[in-house]
Amino acid sequence: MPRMDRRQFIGRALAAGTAVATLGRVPPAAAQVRTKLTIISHRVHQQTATDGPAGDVTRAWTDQNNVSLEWVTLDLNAIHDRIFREGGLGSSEVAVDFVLNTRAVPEVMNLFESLEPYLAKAPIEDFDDISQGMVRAFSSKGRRHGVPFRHAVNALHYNEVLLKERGLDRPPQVIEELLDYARRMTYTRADGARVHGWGMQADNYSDVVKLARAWGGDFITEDYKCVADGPGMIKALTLIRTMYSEGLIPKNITAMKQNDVITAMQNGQIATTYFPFGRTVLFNDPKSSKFPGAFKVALPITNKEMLARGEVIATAEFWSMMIPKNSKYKDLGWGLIRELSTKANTIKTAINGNGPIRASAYSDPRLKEKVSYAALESRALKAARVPMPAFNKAAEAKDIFVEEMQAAMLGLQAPEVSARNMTRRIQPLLPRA
Amino acid sequence: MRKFGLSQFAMLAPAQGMLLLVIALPSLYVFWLSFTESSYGTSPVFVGWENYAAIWNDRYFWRALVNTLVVINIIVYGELVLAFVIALVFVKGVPFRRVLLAMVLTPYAISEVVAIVIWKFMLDPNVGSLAKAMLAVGLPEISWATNPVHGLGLVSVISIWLHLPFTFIIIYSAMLAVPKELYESAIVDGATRWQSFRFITLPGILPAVFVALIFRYIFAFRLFSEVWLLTAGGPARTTEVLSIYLYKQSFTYASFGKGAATGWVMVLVSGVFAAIYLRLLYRRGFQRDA
Repeated sequence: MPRMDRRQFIGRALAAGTAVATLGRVPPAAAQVRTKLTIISHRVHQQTATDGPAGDVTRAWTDQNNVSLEWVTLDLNAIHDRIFREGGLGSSEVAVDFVLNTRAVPEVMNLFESLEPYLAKAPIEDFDDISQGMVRAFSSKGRRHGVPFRHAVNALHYNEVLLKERGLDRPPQVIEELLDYARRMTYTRADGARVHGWGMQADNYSDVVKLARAWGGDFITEDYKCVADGPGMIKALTLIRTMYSEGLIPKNITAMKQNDVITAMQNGQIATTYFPFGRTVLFNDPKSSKFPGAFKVALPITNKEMLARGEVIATAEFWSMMIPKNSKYKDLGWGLIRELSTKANTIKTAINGNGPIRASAYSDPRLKEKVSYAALESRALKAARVPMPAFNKAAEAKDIFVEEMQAAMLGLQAPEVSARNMTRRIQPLLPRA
Repeated sequence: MRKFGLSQFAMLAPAQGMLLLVIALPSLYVFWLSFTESSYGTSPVFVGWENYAAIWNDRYFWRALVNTLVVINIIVYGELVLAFVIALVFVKGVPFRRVLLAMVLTPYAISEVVAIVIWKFMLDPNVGSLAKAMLAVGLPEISWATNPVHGLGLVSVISIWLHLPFTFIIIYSAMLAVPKELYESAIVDGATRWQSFRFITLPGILPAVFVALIFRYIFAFRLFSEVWLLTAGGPARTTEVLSIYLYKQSFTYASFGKGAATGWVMVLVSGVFAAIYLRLLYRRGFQRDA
């Protein structure tokens, strides 16, 4: 074989490269290069929009518009950090952001497009059918900035197999019986597995706020008064302290993230806990659950008087879709928002486990047929309130609540002291009414 | 003396320019930011020393600082002692040296996040294999999720395990570099093993020990993932370290001014430590060779 010197090698390599590049060039019309749209969201949004019994609801729109979606999914804090930081850049590839209601404070609204011109040019199908309360939460100075996509109304999830093993035929309904239920549901199974009667997200405020409301208390009122030092919250803190000290809650609960609690439910380590209704799909998923089909939902725990009156206690948080002001793909972003908000797609995403934001969805026969908890969720949604209203220092208030709550639960200080500290430290962070 | 002209400057310029671009300028920006009140969607407003005063008066900052200092000292010196002992064993000779060397270095090849999550699962008090095994042999339970001493103790153990290969490899190579003739002379002179160690090994590896200490102090000061993934600073913020405090200020509370001020305090504190060790390094090691 003839030897090739370095110059010959480089020359031939360049020639070959050019030939491949020329031959490989496809005419633009046939290239079908899809525009990549970036979406920043929680994993649950991607899951309910693209995966589940109803399939991928974005497929038709992405094919029609020659677009591919890149979902950047992160945890709660990380999502908003990323969204707001991206929003501060000169320009961005991000087309749609999913923002939680507690983060939709007036200070950040100027990072997002006002939707008025978009709604005027290409309206969303039957926009009034979408919860207008949720739309108002994402409005500032009379301009709408977000279109609701998902609500997360909490339900009491329980493992029916474990309940039956303990001779119980229903989950706890009133706060007065919760401790007794948790005691009875805490046991060691025949195979040696330890079951805890109660589980909660101890790195958040929502679950304890529900317990406080069941005792007639609250955390922060809608007119921004911190009332955490009231008897309801003190009773709630005392209750979780008792449950923790008696081992009714997992020992490492303060280090358990949301996913850890989900896994513990699926493995049968926790018998009852609060989560949004749609999570029952995940709990019962045969691919990841040891008890597929055994998880049922009930309305959140209330008190005897409210139960007698047929009243419901429920908390809800919700997510809206927003278009960053610096986005390069604002029109495509609006197109995707419109597509995800149609009546048909609201039903489809609900079948995939989403909390539907259209009032009409709950009377849809498809939803009634496919989603067993639809009627219960509809009832809870009507009574639902946010566990904490949105304000600029909400993240700090949340951390203070969690710190004081954990201190009370672990017995580091008395529940009364924690409750007093919450009010003393959080009230100065609240906007003046 | 060699000539240092324009061409030499030109050759150094890319590296220096890169340092200026990615370290010096951002540091100056953060320094300016530390004198402002700044958050998402708002323009920074100059507030003077307010952020420094706020963190000075914040008990959580002091708790985080104390936690950081305690933990990094445990980590750095624990790691040093262990690395020293293992290096001595290797220098004396061990069977299957290559295999054992690979085993000692393995933690450095594992992703930090993966390693911490595995430790967390193994020590889960409800289902963890290691936690169950410890209980089975009568060892006490580690309440790392609820007891801050246990939590920070476990953080130290994981951090030592993760970074031991770094300190070990520096000390081991320094020990190998000590001339064998010195030991032979010591034997001829009738020196004991302790005397050989005290007057030959120790002075020979001391500069390397200081280098390892400086680097590990600086790295350990940035301790984040071990605490964040294990306890996230809980329960009730009792295991928070400075980097978690900084992260919360900056990215949870979106208070960039306070976050920047915390960052600069961290730079100053770790700078003081580095200065002390550099001084020792110069006096005990390099000054002699100069």
